[in-house]
Parts: sequence; C-alpha cells; structure tokens
Amino acid sequence: MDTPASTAAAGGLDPSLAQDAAKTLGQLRSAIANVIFGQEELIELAVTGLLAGGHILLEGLPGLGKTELVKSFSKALRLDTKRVQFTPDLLPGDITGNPVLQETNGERRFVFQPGPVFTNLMLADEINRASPKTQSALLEAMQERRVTVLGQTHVLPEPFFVLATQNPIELEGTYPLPEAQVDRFLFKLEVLRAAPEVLQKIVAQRRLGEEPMLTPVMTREELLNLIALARRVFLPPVVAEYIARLVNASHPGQSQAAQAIKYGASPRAAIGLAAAARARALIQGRGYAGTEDVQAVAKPVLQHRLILHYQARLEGLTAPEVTNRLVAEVPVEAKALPRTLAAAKVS
Amino acid sequence: MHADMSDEEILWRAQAGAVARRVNLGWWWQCLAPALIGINLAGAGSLLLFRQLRWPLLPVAFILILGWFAAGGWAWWRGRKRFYGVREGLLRLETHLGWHNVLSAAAAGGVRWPSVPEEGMRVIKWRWGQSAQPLLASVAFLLAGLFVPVGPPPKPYLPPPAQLPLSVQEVQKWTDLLKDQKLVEPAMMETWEQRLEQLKNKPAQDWYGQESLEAAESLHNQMAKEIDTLGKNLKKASDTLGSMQGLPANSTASNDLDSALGQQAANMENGGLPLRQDLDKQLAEAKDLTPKQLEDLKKKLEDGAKALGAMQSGGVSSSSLGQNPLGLTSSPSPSASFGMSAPSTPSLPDPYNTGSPGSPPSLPAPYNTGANSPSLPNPYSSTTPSTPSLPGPVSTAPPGLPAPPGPPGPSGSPGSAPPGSGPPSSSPGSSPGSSPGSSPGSSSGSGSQGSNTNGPGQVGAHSNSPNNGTGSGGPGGGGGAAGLNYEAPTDLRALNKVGEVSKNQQSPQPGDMLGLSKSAPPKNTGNDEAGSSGGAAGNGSGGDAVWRQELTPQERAKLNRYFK
Repeated sequence: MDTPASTAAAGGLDPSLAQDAAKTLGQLRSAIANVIFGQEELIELAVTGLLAGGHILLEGLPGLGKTELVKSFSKALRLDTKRVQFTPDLLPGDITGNPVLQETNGERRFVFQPGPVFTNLMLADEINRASPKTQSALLEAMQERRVTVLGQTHVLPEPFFVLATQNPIELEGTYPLPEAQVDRFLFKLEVLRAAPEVLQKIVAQRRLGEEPMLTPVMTREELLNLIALARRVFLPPVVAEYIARLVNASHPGQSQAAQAIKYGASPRAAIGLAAAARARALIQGRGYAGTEDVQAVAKPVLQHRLILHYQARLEGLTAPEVTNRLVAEVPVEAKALPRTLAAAKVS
Repeated sequence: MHADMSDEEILWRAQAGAVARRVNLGWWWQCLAPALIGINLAGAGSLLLFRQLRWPLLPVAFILILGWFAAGGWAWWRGRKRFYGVREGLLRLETHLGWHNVLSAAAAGGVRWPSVPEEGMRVIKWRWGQSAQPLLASVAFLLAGLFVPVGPPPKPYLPPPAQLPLSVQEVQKWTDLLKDQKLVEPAMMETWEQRLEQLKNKPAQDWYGQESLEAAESLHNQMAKEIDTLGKNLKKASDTLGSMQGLPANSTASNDLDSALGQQAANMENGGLPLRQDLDKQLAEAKDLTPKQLEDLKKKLEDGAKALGAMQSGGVSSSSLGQNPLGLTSSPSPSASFGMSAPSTPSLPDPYNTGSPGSPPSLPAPYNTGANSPSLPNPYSSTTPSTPSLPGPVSTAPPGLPAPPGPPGPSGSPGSAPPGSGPPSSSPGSSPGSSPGSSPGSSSGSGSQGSNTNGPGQVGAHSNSPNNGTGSGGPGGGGGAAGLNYEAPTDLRALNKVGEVSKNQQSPQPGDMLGLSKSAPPKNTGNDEAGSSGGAAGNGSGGDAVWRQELTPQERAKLNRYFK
C-alpha cells in the first residue's frame, strides 16, 4: 500500500518541499549514475550521507571508481574540491596547513597557509596509507569543522565533506584507521566490483585518460538548503526509540547478534542513524522518517563502528553481517504480539 | 479532548485502540492460560474427590470461581507491561499498511493525519489453535471432574486374610467329619453346608467383619450344640442297647429299655442334626433286631458317639491353640467331649466334660472314653486298650490349686456328685473322686454310678471348679486367664504381682496385663500334654469368641511380637 500524501503539521516539514527536494536529489543521483555505472545503491547512499552532512569512507580495491565518484560529486555540486593522496610520509601539516614565515615591511611573522582541508569536498585518497598521526589530523576537522594550528582556530568552509577512500587493510602499506577516526565517518560504503554487463558499458563509453562529462545539478547554496531541509524532516518518537534499541542492542549482552561484538556502537552512531534516516526520507520525498529508513541506513552507519571479537572474526563473521543480524533481531515494535495473535497479511 | 481532534485522528485512534485491546486480551489470555489449566485441573480433581466422598460441590464451585478471578487478576498484573497503548496500536497499523510511520508521526504532531482507508483493516488475527487449547483443556477437565463416574469412598485397604475365621474352619471340619461318619440325615447336612458356604463365599475382606464373625460364631455354636446333643443321644442309645443285650426279650426291663430307645430315636429324629433315617428306624425297632444286628447297631452308635466326641475335642483344640498367640483361653467347643478326654479345656458345664488333656488324669466320667488322657474306669467308658486308665487319685494337679472335694457320691467317692436320677450302674465307679488338689479340668472323681448321663458324679467330673484354672468359663467366660498359667514369665514383671490384671480382657490395650501368675506351674510329666494346658483351646463363645476372632492374622502377629 502506498504511503498516503501527508500534510505538514505544525512542527513538520511541508510535504511539497520534501517532494521538490526529492526531485532535485533524484537529478543528482541520475547525473552521477551517468558517470559511475552500476553503482546506484552506492550513489544513493553517498547522496544520503552528504545530505545528512556526514563524511563518507569508501572502501574498495583500486580501480573500482572511488575517486571517480568523489570527483563526480564535486562536479555535480559545483563544490570546491581538493584531493589529498595519503602516503606514509604525509604530515599533518600537509593536510591542515602550515604556518609560513613571511617578511612584510621588514617584519617577520608566521602566516597560516591553509591546507587542502580548507575546501568543501575533500577527497582523502587511500587514507589508510598515511600514518595514524597524519590520519588523526583530520579528527578535529571532520568533527568540529575547524582546524587549530599554533593556537589559532580556523573554521572550515560550509559545507565540508570528507570523502575518503581506503584499500582493504590486507593490502601492503596500509595502516588501519583508529576507532576514533573511523567513528567520524557517517557512512562506510563498500565499493564492489561491477558486474560484467556494467563492465561492458564502462568499456564502451569510457576512454582511458579522458574525463567523463558531467552536468552540474545544483549549486553550493542549494545543497546547503537541502541539508537544512533534511534536518527538518520529522523523526517520530517510535523511530527514535527504534534507533535507541538498535544501537543498544549492538552492545555485548544486549542481543543475540551482539555476542560477536566486542565494542558496540556509540551515541554518535545513533545520531548518525537519525540524520541518515532523515536524509533518506527526504530523498524519498517524505517529511517524516520511518523505521524503514533506519533499517536502510543501518548497515553503512553501524558496520565500521562495531568492533568484533577476535573469535568472531576467526569464524569469518564480518561487521556487515553482524549489522544485518542486529537489524533482523531488533523488532520495529517494542512490544511483541502474544503467541495467540498473529499479524494479518496485507491483502 | 476530542474537540481538538480531527475526524481522522479520532478514527485512527479508535482503530489503534481496538488493536491495542485485542493485543492486550491476547497477552492476558496467554498469561492466564497456564494458571487456568492448573486451576481447572485442580478443580477437576477436587470435583472428583468431593463427588466420591459425597460432599456438596458448591464449595468447589465457589473456590473455582474465586480461583478464576484471582488468576485473571494475576494474569493482568503479569502481562500489563506488554500491553499495548494507542501508540503501539498506531505503529501496528502503519506497519501493517506499510505507511512508513506516518501515523506515529501524525500522533506526534509531525504530519497531518492521513485519511482512513475505506476498506476494513484486519491488522491482527487470532491463532485459534493456540488460543482455544487452554480453554478446551479447562472445559475438558471440568467436565471430567463433573461426569467421570466415581465409585463409593475407598475403604482402607486391608490385605485379604490368609485363612477363614476359626469358627468357620471348625464348622467346616465338623461338617466334613459328619459327612464321613454318615450318621446324620444327608438333607440336613446339605442345609448346614449351605449355611457354611454362605459364610465362606463372602469376600475375604469381610470374613473378619463384625457381622461375619457373629454369623460364623452363631453357626458354630449351633452346630456344636447339635453335635453335643447328637453325641449324647448316641451315647445314651448305645448304652441302652448294651443294657438290652443282656436282658431276656419281652421282659419288663427290656420293654422299658425298648420304649426308652424309641423315645431316644424320636429325639434324634427331631434334632438339628437328625440321625440318618435307616439308623433311626433300626433304633426305633431295636426290639425286633437280632442280637447280631443289635450288636452292630450298638457298635455303630458307640463309634458315632466316640467320633463326635473326638470331633469336637481334637480338631478344635489344636487349631485354637495354634491360633492363639496370647495363650488366652478360648473355648470354641460349647462343651467338651462326651466324656472323652480332649485336649481342649472343657468350657461348658456339662456332665460329660471330664477335663482337658493338659489336666491331670480325670476322674471317671460317664462318657470319658479316655481317648487322649488317661481316665479312670467307668462303666460307660469305651476306653481302648491303648489308653490306660489311671486310678482316680493320680491327679497331678499343680500344688497350690487345691480343688475342693466334691460331695461324696453314691459310690462312696468323696468328691462325687450326689446321686443322679438314672439307674445305678453296676460299674463300681472306681474313681475315688477324692483328689484333693484336683488338676485343672479334672477335679474330683465322679463316682458316677450307672449310665444315666445326668447321673451322679458328673458334677464332680465337671471341670468348672474354682481350682480348675483351665479356662472353664464356658461360652461366656472364655476361660479367663488360666491360659497364662503355662506361659513363660513375661517382661511385665508380673511374677511378683498379684491381682493387677486388666479387667477387660476382651479388649486389651498394649501394656495391659492379661493375666498374672506367680510362677509357672510345674510341667506335668505325666500323661498329660503340656501343649494343651490351660484349656486355651476352650471353645469360647460370645464376647470371648469375638475378641479372639476379630483380630486378623496380621494383628495377632503384631500383638504376639509386642508381647514377646
């Protein structure tokens, strides 16, 4: 049964605005899908993450289109974009910026030279190839959207997104991201290998060394409006309660699925879930979020925040699998039906 | 409150309330079901019990209803945390409709209420299989409790007795012996057998019931009395025939005896154990019999009398002694043998009772055949050569139990009874009857003269003397405490006590003294048998018999162990 067309109440989002936003966001997804073939779900989640104002960690083998995805967003959104290729010898100052000694009128003083972090869309390519010290340089920038250098705090421009890519940690020359760093990313998205049909399309339409053409969809201001609109999406109490139960169930002893978990999700994860659910609701043209939205974004929000037991990892369990189990285990209704009753099927 | 609500909100909240109520009912029922089954199961058991005990069922119904209400309250209390409210109802509705929490959002003020769909919403449905099971089980339990047939209240289980009561056994034995003797009219024997069968055919558990014991005792006494009467009559007839043998035919004496025989035949014909008709006829026409036939008839009657006497004496005593753990006197035989010494204690004051075999040699009694105990010669005695007669003074009564000598009889026996009414016997009455300390059951000699069974000396021969000490109480007395005389001293420290004997020996309590004896009497080393002492085999009747026979073998064994 289709969702009825709802009208905004006093504190809710006007459905017409939501519909317009959904239309615009649909154009954005289509534009990027013209460049990145066969990754519609990835694109939708990336749009959701951006709309929620979160940072996104893209994980996948080299050559799967991670960097291309970020560049596509940059072009489609007409955002200022900077790319940093993380290497083992990269220093924190190479990201945040360094004070440079300048002589003006015979007076020498340090002048802050902003680093690549001062942009709207920062592509941190192969972020796990840098040392943890350099990785940590992004912590303040990602969370507080500002950088402090030599006692001076510098505010980052709005919007500020970090779209980082990383290779699987099994590859040589990689450093696993510290938990605190990982927690800053709203989503962790896995970029999967394309299917043969998709590959055929890629081969047919792309030329080596030739940048694909992408038409911009919206301006920076429009994106900021959409982000503000997403924040106004109504989150019913039952959905908030569901998010709380889901996050709580990720902690050891709180659920069956959590038996494989050593450390569960943080409150930041719950906030991220709510924000992502709102963004997804807006993408779908609704002024209110639902539990289905939470379930849809639970995996990219939670999977990189769950630290599994060593034994569970040995058994081959992965964080995405555990997340799926969590979602399946925690019911939408806080109170179950008695055995004497059953939910009727939808006719 | 409803004034602020839109129509949609009212409708949606009503729908959610209905869902919530149904869910809450489901939870309540799920919590209630186990308790309900338990209560109804217990109620069914109570109903069965009350019905079996014939108690009114109203209290059970009241308690059952009370239990239902209590269980209902408990189920509500237990399930209340799972109960749905409107919020949960709305969530259930929107989940069912796939409406992405629009109702929850509307309820929280995020969006406006959507319109209610026209088609009815059946969000949840009952699982009738699971829902109805407890109810059906409860109803089945209660119906079973109400309508399953129940029997009468169970009697406390008593293991069936191993053997019939003594009185029945004895009547059976007597019946068998009487049939073997072929003295009694068969038709009458069948009547006796039928009465016996009625007793035997009762359920084994009822054999020792009061009613059965009384009936058995009645039959026993009746048969004993009839046997006694028949024995006496046979003996009389035998004696009369003996007297006739030496007399010339058609003499006055012979005629008198013939008429007496006719009278005796008539008596025997009318008794409870009537003489067989052919014998009775021969007896009535004895005058016409040849000497040889007379001799045969006399022999037959003598044998019959002897057998009847032995019947009552031998069979009874052995069994009763063996069955009496306390050694208390019981006298199943209403009268002792007809002058035949029997191992049992003579309990009836009949003139033919000459004492028990445990007693010292009895003084001559008219019918003492001396079967088991030596007896003094008397004219009616049919003592066999194997039973030597002892002189009267050979009484071996225990010292200290002197029997007062009876009055001198006509034969000069100092202890004999006064002269009887019968014709004097030519028998000298050799028993002096002067035994000063007569033994139990023997007392002084009879000095009986003549064949009159009621003749002199019989009183003296009767054992119911103060010195008897052999359970001579007869049917009512049951022999008293004499049976303890031969018991070994018990732990009751009774050896030095005198007189503190329980007054109620028919219903003794543990610890009651049933009898006292300063010392066990010396074992009789004579011809008497210690095993038959005290006349414990006396065939008591009435209360004594009931006391003896109301105990089951198990109870007797327990009492026996206790007193050991």
